Amino acid sequence: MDTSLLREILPVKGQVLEHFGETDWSFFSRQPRAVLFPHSQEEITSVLSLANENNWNCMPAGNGTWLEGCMNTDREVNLIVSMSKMNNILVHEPDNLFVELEAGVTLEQLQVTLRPSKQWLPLDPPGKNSSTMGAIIATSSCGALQTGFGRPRDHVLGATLITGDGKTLKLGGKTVKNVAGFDLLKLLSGSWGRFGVITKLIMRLHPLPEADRTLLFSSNQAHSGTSLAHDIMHTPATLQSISILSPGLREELDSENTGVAVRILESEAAVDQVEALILERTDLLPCKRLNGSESEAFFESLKNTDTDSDVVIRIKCLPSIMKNLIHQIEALQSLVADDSLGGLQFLAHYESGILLVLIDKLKLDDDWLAQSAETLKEFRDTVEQQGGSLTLLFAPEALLKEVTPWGSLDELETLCAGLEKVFDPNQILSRSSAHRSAE
Amino acid sequence: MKNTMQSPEHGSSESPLTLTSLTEALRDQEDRLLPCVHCGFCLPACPTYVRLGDENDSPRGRLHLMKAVVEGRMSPKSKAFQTHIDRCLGCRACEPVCPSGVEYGLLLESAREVASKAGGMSFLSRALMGIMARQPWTNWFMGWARIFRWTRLPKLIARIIPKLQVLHPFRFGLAMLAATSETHLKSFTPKSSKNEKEKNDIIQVQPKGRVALLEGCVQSGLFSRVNRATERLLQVNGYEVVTVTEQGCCGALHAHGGATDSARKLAIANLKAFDSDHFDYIATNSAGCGLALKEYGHLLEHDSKHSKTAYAFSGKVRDISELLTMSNGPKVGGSIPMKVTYDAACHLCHGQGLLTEPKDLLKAIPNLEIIDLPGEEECCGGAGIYGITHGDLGVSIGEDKVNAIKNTGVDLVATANPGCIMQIGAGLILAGSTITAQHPIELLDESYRRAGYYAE
Amino acid sequence: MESLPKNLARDLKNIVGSKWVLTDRDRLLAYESDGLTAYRSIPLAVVLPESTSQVSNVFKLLSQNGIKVVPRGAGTGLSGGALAEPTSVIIGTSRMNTILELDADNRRAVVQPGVINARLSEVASPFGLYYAPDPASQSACTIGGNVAENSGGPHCLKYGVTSRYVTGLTIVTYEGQVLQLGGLGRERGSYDLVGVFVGSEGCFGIATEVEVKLLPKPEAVQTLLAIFDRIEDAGRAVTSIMARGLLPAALEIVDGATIRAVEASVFAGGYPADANAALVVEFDGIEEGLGADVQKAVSDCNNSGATEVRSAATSEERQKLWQGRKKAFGAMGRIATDLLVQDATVPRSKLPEVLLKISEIGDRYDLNIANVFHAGDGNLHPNILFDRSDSEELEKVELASTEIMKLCVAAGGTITGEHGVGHDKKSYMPLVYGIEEMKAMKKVKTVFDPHHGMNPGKVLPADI
Repeated sequence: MDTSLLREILPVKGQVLEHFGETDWSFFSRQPRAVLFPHSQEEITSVLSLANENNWNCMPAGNGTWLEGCMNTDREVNLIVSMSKMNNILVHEPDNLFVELEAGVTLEQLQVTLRPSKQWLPLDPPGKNSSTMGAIIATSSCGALQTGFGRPRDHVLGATLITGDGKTLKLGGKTVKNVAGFDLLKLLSGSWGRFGVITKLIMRLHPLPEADRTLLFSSNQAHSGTSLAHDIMHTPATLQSISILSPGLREELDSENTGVAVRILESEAAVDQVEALILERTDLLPCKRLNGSESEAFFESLKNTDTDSDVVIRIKCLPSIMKNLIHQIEALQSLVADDSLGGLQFLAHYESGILLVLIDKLKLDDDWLAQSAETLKEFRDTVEQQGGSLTLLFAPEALLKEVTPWGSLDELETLCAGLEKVFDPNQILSRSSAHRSAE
Repeated sequence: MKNTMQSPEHGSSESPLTLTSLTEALRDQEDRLLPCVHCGFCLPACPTYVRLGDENDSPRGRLHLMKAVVEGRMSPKSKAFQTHIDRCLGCRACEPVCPSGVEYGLLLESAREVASKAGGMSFLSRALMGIMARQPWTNWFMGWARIFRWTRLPKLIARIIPKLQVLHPFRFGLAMLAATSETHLKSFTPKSSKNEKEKNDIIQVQPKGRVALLEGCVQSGLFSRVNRATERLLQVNGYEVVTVTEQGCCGALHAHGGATDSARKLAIANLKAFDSDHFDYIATNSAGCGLALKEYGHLLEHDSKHSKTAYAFSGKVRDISELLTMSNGPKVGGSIPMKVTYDAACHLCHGQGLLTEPKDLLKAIPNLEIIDLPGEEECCGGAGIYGITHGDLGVSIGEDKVNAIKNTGVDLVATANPGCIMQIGAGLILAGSTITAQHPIELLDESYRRAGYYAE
Repeated sequence: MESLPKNLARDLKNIVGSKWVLTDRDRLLAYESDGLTAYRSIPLAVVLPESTSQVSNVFKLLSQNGIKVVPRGAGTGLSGGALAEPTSVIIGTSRMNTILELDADNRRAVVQPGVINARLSEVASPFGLYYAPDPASQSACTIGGNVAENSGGPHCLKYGVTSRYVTGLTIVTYEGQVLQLGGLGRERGSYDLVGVFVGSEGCFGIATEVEVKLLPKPEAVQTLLAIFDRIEDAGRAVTSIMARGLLPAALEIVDGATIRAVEASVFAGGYPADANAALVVEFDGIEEGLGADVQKAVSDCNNSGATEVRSAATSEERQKLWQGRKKAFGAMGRIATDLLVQDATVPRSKLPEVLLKISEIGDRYDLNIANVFHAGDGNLHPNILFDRSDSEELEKVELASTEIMKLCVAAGGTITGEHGVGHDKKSYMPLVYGIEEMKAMKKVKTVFDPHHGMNPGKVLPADI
């Protein structure tokens, strides 16, 4: 591979990074040939055109936070195109509640800019807020707040995409209501960069709530975690998140019992009333009440709980079957190293039907792989029999390959493969993906 | 596609002249057709559309058919026009939901006129209208019906006739006749009460007004007890009731059925009989007749000789529930401890905008438990003799109503139109239910009797 | 005139029952247009199936015979999306009107596409739930149609449009394949197929089962009505309410011409007939919080020059205020024989400027334009009143519409906020999209519908 051609396109020092060893930019057992840091859309178009001519496999990225996400298992990559140097906030119109930005802007950078106008983007992807907006959308990363505010796709008003074959598509617009043409914008969320490089985004903003309060409940004999969460969900008020925490997951709660955290983002006048409604429903007093920055900090730390885990499993199910599934998690105990205390944890966003299972320290004895894979497959069957799904979000490469990140796509395979070809006819962005590129 | 996609005019075999004369009644109404903007808000309100899902069976679709006929794009003899205009119940549930205020009911009458001129009407409808148009025939027909009803055979036969499609009109017709029987409310008496007395006028010093009552053909033929009760209630509530002898059929059946000329003749006869200058109000206790009387003005709008009188006449027409609920009425009666529900007759609630008034009559009865009927404003499928002429659909609409009534767990359903009493009553009889259908007036009358208003 | 081959008609009747296949030209006439009557075309036939499997069998038969398909819900659409060429067959969903599942515990429902929007909320109501998207035609329009158009409504300002509430779909492709997309209780490693299908205007396939999310009914609702002498003042009130960081459930403006039409209808909302603009502001949520919000909004209205501010005290009054707003379209039938309901969006702050220019356009073409709009999200509905029989006026309507569209796009908006492109706005697509975007849209359609049998001639200009 002749990188000199790339250096012609990206002339500034540091724009083409090679020989970086086992640094942040390697993922799984693979090392891309180079990481590129374009400064403009034109540079990206040129890079992709060159890649098409030379049949180089590319992967768009931000700051490299989620390179080892499950969607990248088996992905062949020669070049990583990082958006991190394109990080300008272009337009912020507070009156119109939108912001237009380059995809390399980080969530943190964005929130800081918005704060003086008393606005924010209510998204809380896992990990630090150093992830870029482009990456958050491409990976559809979100956390507890999705209960009240929706998933990343619900916040995107418009985007610019440079497709795999180098075409620039301006999708969506600046207004909340926009039904001109087919909604290709939706495809970008969760596309993991397989359709192209997202270069610009127009995001819908919300006014910053006056009051931020978190109520922490500790479960007991009469009130199990899921029944508490169920009661809270059916409070006649809009709640921004209802999370269930396994015992010991957070120090703010006691280590013996399952905890439930409810976040209320409201006007000052309404927050007490919402709390009263919740308490009326639960018939149980909270063990802690966190206000303002304390509340924010609690949820900030909650979304970082999975950063050190060896394995992260995401189960999606209807809230009503979550109780069952939380009991059945026990089956995964065999994956955990014997010397690990509390090695199996969970965090659930009840109303959204998300159950994250965290395995801190994986058992790595002689036949761990075969055994763990079998246990996981069985567990996936258990979940699917109840109508849910199991995604292996993060895991050692070998385990990911053995189990596959998600269940079968069946008849949707053709549609998904077809969509990839629309935006990336030569498949430089999606080659060798285990389940799709097969023809 | 615009304009160029407009299809070529429909090749019609009629000469333009015949078509013109056939469709005259609708063309006269073109201004009433124009306000429809095709928004579709009427669709979910229409009992036939809801059940059939065919745009042609919706008010918007029927208006479209009418427009097509007016524009000469469709022959009034076409099967589509004939079938779908005929299939309309005429319940007017589409009118209150129409933001453009399309006067659908009036348009339907014109469409029916055009349809019947172009294609004729069923033997049964013709026969029925023929009878109703002539007072002696009506009397003769009703007389035999009463005798047959007295034998109690209709109910018995209706219940044993097998549920065969071909036998449906016969079976249902008998059940309808049986449904006109009086309900005896003795079992709902808390303690022994006085016997009903012949009418005993309570003359007020200053009567609220002079009222003439429309006797009606079905009302006088099969429900004369309701007419007498109406008179008693009016008197107790302070009205002077005057009998008008020369009156005849109101013509509703004819107008709704497309026999507009007959309807006009009947209307003119009534204008003469009721010299409206002599009355403050003309009262009816039949929703359908009441609406027809209230629309005499429109019916005769092109008749220079009668239109003024007709509008004046219509202005004095009141449903009995309107009269009785005026100025703090009606008087509270005696206790009837039973459970009832109220079904709103279309021509009262949609046609005349009277929904709370008839219920207020029931509320004047102590201890009467009134249970809300889900879908009370939906048509029962009565629509004249729809239950007989449109077997399948009429039955399906009727069954929904009967089931809703059964689910309320009541003893009796009150509804203020003879057609509805017969339709719902027949449905209940055929479903083997013990619930009966009755006019709210009958209940209030019984209540007044128990209160002693009619005592010596 | 085209007609359906006899054997095909027979086979269709075998699938759905003979009553539910319309082939008689006179009966097809009622299907010549949807809510937009400016375009008319009589379809080849109308088929009214009642289940997914019937739809699938019908589609198989039609696609094998190369006959194209146009899905139709209640026919309330305003972009001619259900207009069928004389060679196409309309598939109506009117008989697929069952609520299959109402799962209050998980706040979801699964419905057939012919279920009427308002009915879903009605049925969910005893459980304290409702379906949030509320297009003005909600009393008549179907969920299937909402999915096709990605419908909005007044309350989208706070709650978002249809796509946010559709969580799963069963679709049938033109070839008759039945596919399950999404689902609230599971996720598959696929792209957001539900997201891209919603708003595809019947061009990708037909949804035969729709899973939607329901919301808890707000504890309390307060509605304000502010009257203005000038419509620009109402626009300024909107901007200052939003700038405070308040998020009303809805912010609606109706102009003088509309007020007078609505007040003359059975749905009179009690707006003063001589007003030139009325702003409806609605807040919902927790009772305690509302009072303060309402006070702030009242002072914003007063500061912007409101001549009168009323609040709806009872739910009945509230309903009435909304009736007047929601039935505005139909009420226009009273003041003109024909009506073109336009639909476009601009960023909210551009509203006063755009409104002024729209009235200039109206003056220039000597056309009556009445405005009703969702001011909170910048969604305008200029209603152009005209008389179809006047061909000169018809042409002026066309020209004025194009100017309004260009105006809105230049202001940073787009050509349709909620009515869809359908047949009517194809020619405006190049105003907002380049050739590459439109080509990509066509290719995505081709992935779902390789033989281009679904709703032909819609959304994209013919030369793409």
